[in-house]
Amino acid sequence: MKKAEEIFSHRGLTESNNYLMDIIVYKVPKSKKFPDGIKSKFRLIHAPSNSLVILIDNHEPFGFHEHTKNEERKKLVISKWEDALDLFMSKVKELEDEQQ
Amino acid sequence: MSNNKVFHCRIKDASSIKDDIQQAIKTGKKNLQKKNVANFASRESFRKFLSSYKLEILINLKHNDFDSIYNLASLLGRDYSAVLSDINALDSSGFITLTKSKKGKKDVSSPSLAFDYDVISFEDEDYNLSFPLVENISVVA
Repeated sequence: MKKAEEIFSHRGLTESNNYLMDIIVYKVPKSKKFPDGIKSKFRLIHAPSNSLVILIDNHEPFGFHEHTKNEERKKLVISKWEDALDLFMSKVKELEDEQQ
Repeated sequence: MSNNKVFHCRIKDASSIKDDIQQAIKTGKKNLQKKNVANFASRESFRKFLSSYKLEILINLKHNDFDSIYNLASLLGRDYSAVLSDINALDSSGFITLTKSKKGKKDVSSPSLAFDYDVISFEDEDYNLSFPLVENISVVA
């Protein structure tokens, strides 16, 4: 099988500086699990403690899902990376708003 | 001409990330995070992030080796938990790296600069600020 190719990555702090967004997008062969040939990972890290707060990804054999605090996977009714990114950004905004 | 190694700080609007990903997918041109760049949400957030405490840590890491965060906190004369919080923020944003090892039964983290840079540079449309970690430095933008 052809290896996943990283085509985009971004690490950046949010406005409050409390969180770091870590985004990685890979190009993979199109398949049932990756209909658009894109594999992505959206992570939010609490910067002062370096701890993971949000993780949404679509690694095999799952579709898009969110890793919860008790290390379970919550399946998401999403098939496009754009929707996963929007969901991630809305969760980040919620946390940022709580800081204010 | 300056041969100083630079760590760049830039403003990256989160709203442009989707466009950047779409562009990378469409063109096949990779757009990868560089190790010598940290992204901030705004000039204000950069100003708040790079406190005098964090700059003091970076200057010390430039000139000294520390085998633990505790030793660094001792040298700085600061509370360990406050230094740990600064170290974690510097680590997660890419300014430094933490090398983990065992010291007896304890896990220790040794902080060091992400690479041997001499100056931190902040660039946006209106500003180009430099924060040297060494003395007698001349920076060419």
